[in-house]
Amino acid sequence: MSIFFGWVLPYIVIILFLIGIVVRVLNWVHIPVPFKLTVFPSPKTTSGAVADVAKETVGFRSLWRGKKGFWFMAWLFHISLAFLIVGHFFGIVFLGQQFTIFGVSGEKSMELSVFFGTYAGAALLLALVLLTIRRVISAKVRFVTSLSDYIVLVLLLGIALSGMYMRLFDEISYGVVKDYVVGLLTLHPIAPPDHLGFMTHFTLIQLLLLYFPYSKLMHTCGIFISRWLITRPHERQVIIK
Amino acid sequence: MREQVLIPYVAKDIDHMHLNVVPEQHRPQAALEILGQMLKYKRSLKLYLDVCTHCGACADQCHSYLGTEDPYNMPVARVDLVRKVYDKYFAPGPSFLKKWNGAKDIDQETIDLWYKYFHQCNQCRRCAVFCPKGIDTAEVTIAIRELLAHLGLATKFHAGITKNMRDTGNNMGTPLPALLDGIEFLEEELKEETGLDIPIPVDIEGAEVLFNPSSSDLFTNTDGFMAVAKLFYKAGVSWTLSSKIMETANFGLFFHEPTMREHNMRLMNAGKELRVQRIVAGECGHGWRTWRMFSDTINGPLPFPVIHLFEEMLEHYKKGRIQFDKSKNPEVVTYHDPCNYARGGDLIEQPRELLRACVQNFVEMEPTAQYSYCCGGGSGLLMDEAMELRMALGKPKAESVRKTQAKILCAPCAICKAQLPAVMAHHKVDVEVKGLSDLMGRALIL
Repeated sequence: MSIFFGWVLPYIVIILFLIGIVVRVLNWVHIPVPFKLTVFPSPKTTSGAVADVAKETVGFRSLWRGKKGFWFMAWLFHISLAFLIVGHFFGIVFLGQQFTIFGVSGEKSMELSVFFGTYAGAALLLALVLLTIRRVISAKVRFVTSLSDYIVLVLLLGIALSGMYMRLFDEISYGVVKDYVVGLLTLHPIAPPDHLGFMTHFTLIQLLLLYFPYSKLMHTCGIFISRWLITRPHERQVIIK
Repeated sequence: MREQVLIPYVAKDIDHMHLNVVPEQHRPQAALEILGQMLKYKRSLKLYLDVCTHCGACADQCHSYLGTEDPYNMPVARVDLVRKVYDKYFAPGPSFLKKWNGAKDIDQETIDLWYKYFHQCNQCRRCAVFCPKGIDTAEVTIAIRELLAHLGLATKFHAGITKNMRDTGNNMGTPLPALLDGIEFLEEELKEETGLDIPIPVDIEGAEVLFNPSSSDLFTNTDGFMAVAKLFYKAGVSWTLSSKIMETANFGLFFHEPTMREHNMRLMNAGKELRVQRIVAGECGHGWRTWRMFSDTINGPLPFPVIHLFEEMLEHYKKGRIQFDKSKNPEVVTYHDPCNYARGGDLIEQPRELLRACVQNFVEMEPTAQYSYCCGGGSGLLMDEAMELRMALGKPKAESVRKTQAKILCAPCAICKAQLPAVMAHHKVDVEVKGLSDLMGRALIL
């Protein structure tokens, strides 16, 4: 069983995930856009429009214009998730020593790594709980909720909870994870860590990635294309000489 | 027949758009074929069906939902009516995953729901301003109305207007002799009012400007139209109307792209034939969007720019060719941003600059500019049989206007001008609706 989860599944998942999202993005960009659909006021130049899309995807300005409470939940969720993905990468690659580059001691770097990871994880969990509560108690949102919306929330909650569980109650050393992941990436897989918390965390992430190309999670790629449609700069016609 | 109970009424006569009525039992299948075709040439449609996360941020921003309180009028729920069918037949992935997404079969009831709810969307695009993915429900509404038209389910009102347009070159269906008569009468009125010979020229080859008014301005809002004649006269610009087309509204945009293209081409050809230096569009919101945003795609590159009356007049005002006497407009005036000026056509500051120049008391309403609510008549929802719906759709706008305590509501769009007086009366807001041309005309120093 652990061979399947630890050795075989990760390769299947990553291949299906990558092919899935690439195919879907190519599908989108191959469809023509006959008319300019800019929503005004819009930037006048291409670089302005790129900056606009960037600001939107980092700051969620559209949501800020609406209800601030919901903006906070959505923004906290995405920003802490982004923070965690980056943190996982550096934490595992440098085994918690990534902050030594700023001149702190190795011990201090590890402390910082743990500190940021813990608080970002807690923020993610908080945001997820708030978003779930909103989806369940708001009659309006419930009306448009489908099963997949709950499934995505449950998967994400499971990932966040298992991550926090490891951090708080059943820590796994960065080194063990690094050895395992490097093994997978270099096509010399070693046995997965015999660690319930980690395997739960790892398997849930794989399930999420499997579901990714067929779900609303594709908005992570689509947002850049869909926002570009309404942000595209539109030249003003020359008026009168 | 089921169609008799649908609001708005279904058109019987759609031959002029080369559309046929698909028999009821074949409609679901035909609808799928058309949807499949559209998904291949409308990136916006496919993206919008794919990237929504059901977050619901659009719900509280849609005047249609706020006014009717019908949950299907939340933009997300409206598009979900299509998204469920899309998920079933067109989305990638194994069918059990599609079921999780809420995939649903298409049947006659689905098509009825499409007809009902895509005629309760004004294509105002306010949702696109508040949606983090920038989903513009108007794009979906336009596509689905076109799909319905291909099934034979265009509305009676829209089909009638496009027929008028095709036959006479204006939406009112007024034949040319009557138009020319009306224009002559207005010239006499101008003479009586000002004592000056202010012309309203038609078909003058080589004129500087081809002005394209809303046909309703020629008969129901004549003050605004005469004001335009005065403004051109004072600015010293040679201008002309075209007998081929006196209509700046373009109902094809709402539900039938070929009609929209044909209408656009008609104006551009008129401009080329008259060898004008620029085309100036009159007061009409969605028409402006089609001229500004779509002309180049359809007819480009064009030998002349297509600009708006406000851009033209603002230029003359800044150059000092026209002056205004503000004291002629002493009342408190507020400005309603037609959706297709502000969000759709990049006209936000220009009308305000003109307003500040020609009225004494200008107050902004809240929300305003690109956040402004639709009047509730957008996308041509002006049919009498839909009056109850129209009043509900106009409710958020009525409340915005009420709070300003203005006496004059400046709404420079033919559809808004037709819709807002009824809405304001229904919601008991004591205000007079006027175009910006009217106000400029009153204040113009001749």
